[in-house]
Amino acid sequence: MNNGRFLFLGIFGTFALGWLCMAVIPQTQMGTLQPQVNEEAGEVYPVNVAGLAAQGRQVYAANGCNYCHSQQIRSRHTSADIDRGWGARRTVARDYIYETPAFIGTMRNGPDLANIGQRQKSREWHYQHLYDPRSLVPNSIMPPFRFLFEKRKIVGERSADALNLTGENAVEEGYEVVPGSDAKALVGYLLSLDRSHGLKEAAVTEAAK
Amino acid sequence: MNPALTSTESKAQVTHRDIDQVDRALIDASARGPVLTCFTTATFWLLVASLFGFISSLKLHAPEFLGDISWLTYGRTWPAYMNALVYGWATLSGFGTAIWLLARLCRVSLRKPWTLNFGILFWNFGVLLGIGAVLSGNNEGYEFLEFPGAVAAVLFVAYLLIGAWGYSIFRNRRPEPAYISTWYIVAGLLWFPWAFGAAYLMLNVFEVQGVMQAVTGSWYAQSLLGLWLTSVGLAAVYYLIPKVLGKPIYSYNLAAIGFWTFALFYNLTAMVRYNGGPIPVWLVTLSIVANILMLIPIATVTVNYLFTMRGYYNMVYYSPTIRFTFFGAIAYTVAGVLGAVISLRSVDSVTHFTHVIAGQTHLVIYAFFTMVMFGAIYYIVPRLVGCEWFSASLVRLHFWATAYGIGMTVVLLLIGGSVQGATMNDPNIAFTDVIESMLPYLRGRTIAWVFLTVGHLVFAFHFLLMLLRLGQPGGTPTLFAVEGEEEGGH
Repeated sequence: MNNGRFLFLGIFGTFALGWLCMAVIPQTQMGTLQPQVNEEAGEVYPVNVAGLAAQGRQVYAANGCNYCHSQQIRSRHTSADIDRGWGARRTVARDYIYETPAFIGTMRNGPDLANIGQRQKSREWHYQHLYDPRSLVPNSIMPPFRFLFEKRKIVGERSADALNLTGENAVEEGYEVVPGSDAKALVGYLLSLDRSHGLKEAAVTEAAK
Repeated sequence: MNPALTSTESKAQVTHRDIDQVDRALIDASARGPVLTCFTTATFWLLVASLFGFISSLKLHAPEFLGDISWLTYGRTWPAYMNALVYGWATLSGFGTAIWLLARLCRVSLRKPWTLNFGILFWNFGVLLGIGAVLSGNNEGYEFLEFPGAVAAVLFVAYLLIGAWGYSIFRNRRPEPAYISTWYIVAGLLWFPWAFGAAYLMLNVFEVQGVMQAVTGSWYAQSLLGLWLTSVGLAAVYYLIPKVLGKPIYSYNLAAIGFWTFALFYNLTAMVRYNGGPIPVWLVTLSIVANILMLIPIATVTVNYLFTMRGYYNMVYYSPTIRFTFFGAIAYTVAGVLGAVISLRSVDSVTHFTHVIAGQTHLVIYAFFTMVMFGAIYYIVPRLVGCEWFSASLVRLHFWATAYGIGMTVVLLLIGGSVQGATMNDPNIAFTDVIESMLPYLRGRTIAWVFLTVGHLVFAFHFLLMLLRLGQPGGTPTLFAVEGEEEGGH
């Protein structure tokens, strides 16, 4: 055991085994998944989002949304995710093939967002919620993201996407609060999150329909 | 020299011992620069981590606090906290301890260690850039791999410079059996750059697909905490406890078995983070098995420190080093057993996605590793600066503040997380009520952070006094009580 070479060999060998099992084999097993194509119905799932939603993914990463929100539905016999209405089926590896980074998540200080684009389709709701979460969800512990919005003087017409702020958030006459480019991208991304399409390896559960 | 000794035999012994002492003094003097740089900068990052940890904890139950500053939104302060703690404090204090232990154990003086010093400063520069990037919204989006690629390159180069010194110390060691602590340090120094490099290449160069990113990321995170930090922490435990007690470890064979089973199993434990998730079931099952098999190396370490301490448990009253190190060693056992329990599918279905996971992570990074590093610093620094710690009361305050702080944090996270998991699994309980039930625990954690921060400030102040050579004259270590007298009050 005083042999340095033996020590090095053991250190390399044990680590190589772990690397093989935890990275190399999984990569060969699921590293090159393709989308599911249904030629009869002309459907392809998942599709690669581009433009605003792709930018929004970077805003999501920049503000660390993934530290509190998972995007992962577990099956009914391990969790209440489906019964909570967070998704119609468990999520599988194929759901994430176009996502970089993939925010699968390990922590839920807030609800799961795997299907938030399907569960909450209102753009206005998302803007309002990001601006002041507690105005829509009492006792929410989500921080406000007012810094993604800008307050400006109304020139001519009021902007179409200006927030309807009431109560203590109301702004003075002649001013409006509008989403900045990051807020628009982030909401575009959130609205794109929809993993409810059935897959052959993960069918939509009957009860959740 | 002891003038009272006259016989030639005694003279020969004294000379031999004196040569040993001179040897050690020379090694300590050669390691002083790099090791003190590590500890000083580590302490700075510990204070940074305290600040961001406190802010993050507070924001979780008071979301409006600092709510308008983009740099300080929860999703940025939390990773800033974790990165300052792991890459700043833990890794740098680990470097300092590892280098000093290696130099002492291999009996090698560091000659002109300027590339080592440069590596340490470069590492600090990388951490500074990385935390700046996270706070300014340049987060790569992978847990523990948040830093942008360029920053990772800085850290990698810095690590190679430091690791190369570790390797060269090991190569030039005296031809004596390598002690178990040496194995752990050499292994840690090799494992970390492999894991770090492989993970960054897979994520940024080969750009692996979706779920593989999560698999790679959690494998890396486990290697970081397990194979790097835990290796250094155990090396320190195996060195400090026998050294301060002045007796050999209980069983060397057990330590060897512990090392190889640890090397074999720890690397396979990571995938329980995605238990029930969108990854192949065999991966999770393999990790559950590995987590349970980890009980073997944990048992060997536990038996070894408990039996080495047998008959000497009263040393926790006297020796700051033993008190911190023993606390950390116990936390290692608890963290490992808890890790095995929460890896089981039946338990995981409750604890997944909850604060229980954060509780277990804090057990490893803080209750085990950080407390052991405090113990190591209390032992090492007097040997470098030539005076003893100024005040036993400050050490005592540091111990109780951090011990209560981390104890409270872990207990609150484990209980609160279990409540969170149990209520989350009941679909009839609204999610807002799940959060509502968490609030008392989250508030309690902020109070725990006050304890921790006080402890860290006391420690940093005391460390600063040592840097300024303001301490007790060298010779006898600063103890909590004179040996033979039980310390009152605790």
